[in-house]
Amino acid sequence: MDVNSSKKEIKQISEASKDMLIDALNSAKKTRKRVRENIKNNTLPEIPKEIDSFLSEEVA
Amino acid sequence: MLPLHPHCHCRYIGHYSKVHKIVVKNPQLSTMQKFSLNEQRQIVGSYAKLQEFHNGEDITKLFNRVRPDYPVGFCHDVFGYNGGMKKFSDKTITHQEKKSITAWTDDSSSIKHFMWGISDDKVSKEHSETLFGLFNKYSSNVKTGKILYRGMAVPNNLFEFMGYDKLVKGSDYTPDNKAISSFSSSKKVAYDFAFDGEHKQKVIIKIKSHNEDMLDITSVSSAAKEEETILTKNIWYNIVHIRKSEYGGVKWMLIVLKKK
Repeated sequence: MDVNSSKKEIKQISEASKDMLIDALNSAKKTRKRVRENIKNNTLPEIPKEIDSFLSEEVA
Repeated sequence: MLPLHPHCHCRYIGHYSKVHKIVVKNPQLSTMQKFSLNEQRQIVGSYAKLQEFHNGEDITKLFNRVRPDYPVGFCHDVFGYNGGMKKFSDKTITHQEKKSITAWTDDSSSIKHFMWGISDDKVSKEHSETLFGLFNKYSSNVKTGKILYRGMAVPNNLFEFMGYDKLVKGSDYTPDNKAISSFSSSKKVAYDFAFDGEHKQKVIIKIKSHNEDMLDITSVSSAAKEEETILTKNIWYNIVHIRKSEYGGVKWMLIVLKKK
C-alpha cells in the first residue's frame, strides 16, 4: 500500500468514526430529553430487582 | 488585611498575576519532604509518629491526637471551601455562566459536539469555554463520598470502537477525555439513561463524589428536579470493579471507578 492510499484509508476510518460519534451524540440528546420529561413527570421506570442488585455492588 | 501601623490606615495589598492551578498528588508528603528528618520529627512530635505518617496516616489526625482540645482541620472542611476562592453556587455565578449551564442542561446548543471537535458553532464554543472555566474559577460545591451514577446506552459499533469490550479491572479510565460528563445521584435516572435503544450495550458507571473537578449544578439546572453533577474533561480513574451480565437478552456492564 502506498502512502497516499494509506492516508486515504486513515481519513475514511476517521470519517466513519466521526459519523458514529455524531449519531451517538444526537441520540444521547434525544435520550436526555426523554429522561428529563420522565424526571419532571415522576415517571422514571422502576429498576427490575435483578438489575438493581447488579447496580448496587459496592463502590471502593 | 491587618493595619500595617497602629493608628494608621495603611494596608498590605496583595498583587497577584494569573493564578496557575497546580495539582500536587500528595501535598502533605511533598510539603514534608521539604524539611530535614529532624525538622519532620519536630513537626509531628516524635519519630514514632513520623513513621506513622510515612505509613500513610493523615497528618491532621496525628496533630489532633496530640492536642484533642485544639483540633486542626482543612480550610474547606471548616468553611466549606477554600477561603481564597468563591464557592460555586447559584448566587455567585454570573449571568453568562447561568446561560451556559442552561444551554448544557436543556441541550439548546451543541456544546458536546463542539467539545468533541465535530462542530464549529460559535455559540457552542462560547458556552464550552464558559463551562470549562467554571472548574478553575470556583471551588467545588460537591460533598465527597456520595455515590454518583452515569448511565449510557452505547451502540454496539461504538462499544467496540471506544474500547469498552477491552476494559478490565485495574485499567485506567476517563468518563470523557474531551468533554464534560454528567453524573446523577439517582440510580433510577442512570438506569433510564441506559434503558434507551434496542441494539445498544447498557453501561453504568459508579463513582464516589470528590470535591475537585466536580460541580453540583442541581440548583442552577434548567431541568427541574434533576440532581446533576458535572465532571470536567480528562479526569482519570482506576477501574476497581467491572462486571458484565445479561438480563432478558440485553447486555449490561457495571464499571466502578476510584479516583487516581
